Amino acid sequence: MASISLEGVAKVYPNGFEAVKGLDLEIADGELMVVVGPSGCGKTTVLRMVAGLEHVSAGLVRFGEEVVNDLPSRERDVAMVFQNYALYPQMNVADNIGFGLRMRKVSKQEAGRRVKQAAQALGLAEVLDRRPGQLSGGQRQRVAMGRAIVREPSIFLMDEPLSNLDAKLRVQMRAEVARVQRRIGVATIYVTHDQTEAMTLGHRVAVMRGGLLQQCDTPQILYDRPANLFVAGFIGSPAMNLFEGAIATDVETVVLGSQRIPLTASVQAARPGLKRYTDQPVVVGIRPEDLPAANGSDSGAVLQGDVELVEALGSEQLVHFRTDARMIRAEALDSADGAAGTELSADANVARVDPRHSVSSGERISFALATERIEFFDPHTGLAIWN
Amino acid sequence: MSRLQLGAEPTTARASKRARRREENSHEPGLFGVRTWTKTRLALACVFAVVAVFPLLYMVSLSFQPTDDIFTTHPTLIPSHPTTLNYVQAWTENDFSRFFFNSMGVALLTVVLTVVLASLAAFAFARYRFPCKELIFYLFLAALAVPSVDLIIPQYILMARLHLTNSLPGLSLIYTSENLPFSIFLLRGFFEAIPKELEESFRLEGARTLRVLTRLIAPLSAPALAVVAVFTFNFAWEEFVVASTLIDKSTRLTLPIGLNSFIGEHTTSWGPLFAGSMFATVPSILVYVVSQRWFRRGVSVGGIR
Repeated sequence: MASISLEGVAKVYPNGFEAVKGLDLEIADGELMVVVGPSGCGKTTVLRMVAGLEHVSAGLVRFGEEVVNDLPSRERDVAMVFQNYALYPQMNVADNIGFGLRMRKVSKQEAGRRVKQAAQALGLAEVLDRRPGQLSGGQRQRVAMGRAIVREPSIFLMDEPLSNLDAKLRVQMRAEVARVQRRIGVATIYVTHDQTEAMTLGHRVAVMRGGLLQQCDTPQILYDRPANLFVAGFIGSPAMNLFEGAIATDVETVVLGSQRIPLTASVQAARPGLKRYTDQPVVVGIRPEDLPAANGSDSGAVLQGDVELVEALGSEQLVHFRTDARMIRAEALDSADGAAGTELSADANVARVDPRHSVSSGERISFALATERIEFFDPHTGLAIWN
Repeated sequence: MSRLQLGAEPTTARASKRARRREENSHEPGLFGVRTWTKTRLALACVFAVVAVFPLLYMVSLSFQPTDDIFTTHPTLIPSHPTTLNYVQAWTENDFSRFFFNSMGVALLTVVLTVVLASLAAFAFARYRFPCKELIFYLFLAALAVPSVDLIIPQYILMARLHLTNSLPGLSLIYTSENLPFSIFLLRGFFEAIPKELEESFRLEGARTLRVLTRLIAPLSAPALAVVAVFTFNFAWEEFVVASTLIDKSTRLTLPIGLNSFIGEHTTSWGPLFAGSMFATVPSILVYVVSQRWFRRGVSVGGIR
């Protein structure tokens, strides 16, 4: 059992590409840290450096107090579940799960007992004598998990372990992963590009982009207080609506196209930094669920838009709408420098609306806006505006 | 439930493939619905098979015939007076059994050396980064382009300086060096096709490089290793020119040179020569038959595809 600590860790490949830039991250013993980000953000490289499969170009990787930069992977006591499971095709399930135990000279009897125990816990008892090629995707995934947990490692690493499963199985296995991690109770790094997996699994979530850590916090804080435009756009589905706006001179209203949204005193008090942006452009972020359809009795702030499309999902309606304020979208696949750039998007904005509220395409709709839930970002740096 | 489904999938796929083929064939006019092209290919294959197998069959036949029958004006494939005398004579005269075991020793040692060295080198080429890697690899390949006859004098001088003339292990070294380029080329392609994650997982489980090679890479590369082993064995088993240059001590002769001893200045013992040729041929065929399951897969999916 050990904590993991990354101090200024960087990875530069021989061709000069900087995959990870000065990463600082602490994962406590027993914690499940999810590293999430778009393709090429460096998240898998981080995992591989922790596993000892990639050389660390700069910085320190510690397990507990021990610096492990130069420790071979076989001596790190790390177990890893690979994206493609990496099951040994020449061995049956029992041998796959027990291989690590044999390498560590665990007695045959003890190894057999532990393999059986792990197989039973993961529902693999019936397939112990089968080869990986004879298993379904879910079973293979479980064998990979079994192989990782059976030797009780100090650190558990998972590299997009659910990405090869279909949507239904993924939900099922997500719960399985959480259960297994809780049971073994060791520091775990889980890499994914799926923000739903990140939000549901992680005790904390580290969002990466272009080799840089954007924000690391609990899922709820990431959702409620994104540090920058990228995190705001990346976390949440549908994504946060981002508009180009401006703060009026009196800091009491924010201008979105031709609409003026009053800001309450509590909003101004919570974000004193807004004063610096008077008469200047800001990016205004509003989550889809913070845009319920207004009924006549609403007296608060209202945002109006033209409905383009309504998607009825049963429990809610996703209303795609447009306003005359310019829409902005945080880039998902951006330049490698990690700057939180922005680009104009042709996509419509989205609001989650009660299914009992009648909405149809082409109509003008008013949303009751909870102004204290609005996020503000600097359009140049992309950083959230708080203080 | 899942077992039934899993088991059923390949069977269903095969059945539907067969049905599709039957359907395709049924559209073709002709005998039993077999395509004309298929029949032509079958006929051509039969012709080639006869051309390839006939000399072997004829050799088998002659090896069981007395010398008088061999020189008859009406040769037959089925011996009219079958005898095993040629085999007894071939095995007991001229120290032939010694030549057989010399050749077997040289061939087996060459196979072991080639498989081990080529695997190690191919693994390095497939998995490691080192300066001038590709240049070195292409230098190995360039060796394939040099006719082995051109190398005989340098090889002789080298072996003489190493005091390895008239040495069977010395002969094995030369054979190994001649087989390494192709073997490395073949194995590198095969090793590169093995997912790197398997090796990484092995290492995370605590395995060192040698264990990775013996427990992971080798079992997964059995077809390619079989190709290397068969090619190498046959090469070392039947090689004549280098052996006749490096070996002149009668107790160290190998089988191909030993066979030559049946050909005298004025007469040739044809019966024992054919029987000796059978001793020389059967191991090659056995090696192929035993390993053909892997051999065919290795040739079709390896680097020589």
